[in-house]
Amino acid sequence: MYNFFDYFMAVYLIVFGTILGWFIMQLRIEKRLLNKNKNLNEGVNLDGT
Amino acid sequence: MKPFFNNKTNISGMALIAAMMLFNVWNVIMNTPMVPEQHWAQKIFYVHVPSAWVGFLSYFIVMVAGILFFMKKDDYWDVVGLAAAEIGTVFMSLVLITGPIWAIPIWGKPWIWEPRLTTTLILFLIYIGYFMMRTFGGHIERVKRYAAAVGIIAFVDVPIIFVSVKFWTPEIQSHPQVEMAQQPSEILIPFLLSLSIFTLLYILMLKYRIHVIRINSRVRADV
Repeated sequence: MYNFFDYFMAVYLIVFGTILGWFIMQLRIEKRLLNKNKNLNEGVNLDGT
Repeated sequence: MKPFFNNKTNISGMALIAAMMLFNVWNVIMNTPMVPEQHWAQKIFYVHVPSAWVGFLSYFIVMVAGILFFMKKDDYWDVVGLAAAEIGTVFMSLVLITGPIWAIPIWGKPWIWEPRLTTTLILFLIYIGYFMMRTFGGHIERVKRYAAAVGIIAFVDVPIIFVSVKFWTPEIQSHPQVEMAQQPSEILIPFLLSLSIFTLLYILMLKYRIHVIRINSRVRADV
């Protein structure tokens, strides 16, 4: 006999976990790119020197 | 360029959508009826179908962006197409993962080679090819043209998926044949609410991804 609640929980965790993970990933990419852009505009080398 | 969530409209939109999504989950758990023989597994439907809807909507936007890219020769439409293709594939992956999870207790096996599942898998694989072409396609301007063309052609599969239950005989299909409008209102209204909230979430995600891709393009141009 299947435990239907486990399948329900698995789906909701996967769907909302993926959406949350997507936003976290975009925030991190955005932060990295903005820092890179700022460094380029200030004439700082990408290695921080 | 400023962070996306420095904009008041974007941050308040995000807060509103997050609150609506929490309400949606609460509503599905507490207020929707348990369907006999499926119980909790039926409630998977409230996120599985909206994910599919958002995936198809996204691929529709890829097609429109492809047409506009050819008509206007504007790189903005290439960015829109790429962002929509990425998000569409995220949601299509969710559909292809959550569908089999629902199918295990209901059909007794995760996958059946029936028309709707097979045509959905084909669409997903076309988009895997799309991203491979974006990555390994060579000259950037040529890749943009190819990507727009693939986005337009790939959308042909979407109507096929929708009418696949009518194209092939019912004996080889496992998807329910009933129309959504025939569902009782206790199921239909929460379902439509979930569909609307997922659509709003998708609009925000698309806007955000376009913003990030444009920053990336600017940084690449400056290097």
